[in-house]
Amino acid sequence: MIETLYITASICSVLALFFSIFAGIQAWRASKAASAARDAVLIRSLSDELQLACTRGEQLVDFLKHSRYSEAYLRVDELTWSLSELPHRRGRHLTINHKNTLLTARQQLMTVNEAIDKYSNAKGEIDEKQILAVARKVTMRLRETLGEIRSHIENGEPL
Amino acid sequence: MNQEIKKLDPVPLVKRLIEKSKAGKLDWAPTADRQQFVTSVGGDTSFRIRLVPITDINEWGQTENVDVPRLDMLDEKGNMVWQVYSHEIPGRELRELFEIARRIGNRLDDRVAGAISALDNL
Repeated sequence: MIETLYITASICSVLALFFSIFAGIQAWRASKAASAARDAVLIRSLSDELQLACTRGEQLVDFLKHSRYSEAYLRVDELTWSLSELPHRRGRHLTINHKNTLLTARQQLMTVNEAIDKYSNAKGEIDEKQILAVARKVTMRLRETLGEIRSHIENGEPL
Repeated sequence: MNQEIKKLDPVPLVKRLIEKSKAGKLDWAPTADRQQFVTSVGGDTSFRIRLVPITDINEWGQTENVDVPRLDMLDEKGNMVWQVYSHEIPGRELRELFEIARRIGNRLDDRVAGAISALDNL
């Protein structure tokens, strides 16, 4: 009788061990899937934010083309702030190259900001062609970065 | 704790920037100022090279205004962390770096190739 109980208890403990290992694996898989889903949502939101930055860049180019410097000044500021925030908030989801592109773009925009500021304060002339060319280049680089991020999302690859 | 802080030597940094720029690893970008170019590395550091006017004394002892290159190092917040002046670098290495940055920033190689091709087709 005792022997039967002993055997039953042993079988139960082996089964319990098996089920706990199985539950552990399932929990690990679920946690990994949840983390991947969270990352996917964050990368999608990063892509939306970059899309907004690109739209602001295109508006900036348009304002500069029509010499509407007060509106352009506002757009440069908005774009500079977005580009300052993005690498800090979404740094984990950006590659070093993406971060470098955003940093360089921000530095370029700061020079556009200075140029418009000087012109607005009647401290000098404005090099229209140059600031327009720089704004175009910045917007193009942002679009390229957005394209790379979207391509990763569409192909389901990590950045 | 009592260690003496040695003066930072900018020469290795400038040499490395020249090497990497020549190897096409640094993408210098133009700015609103035609005499200023920027690039970023490591995702947290930017470099800006530009010509700044200074007053110098020429070989006849007269003062004259000349433009000399200056390299600025900026952190991820855009704060200036280091400035390298041309007199700190022996020879003309900072001038060389500026010329390379200008060549890359203005896509001069592509333009020259395009001009040669256009001339060949004349």
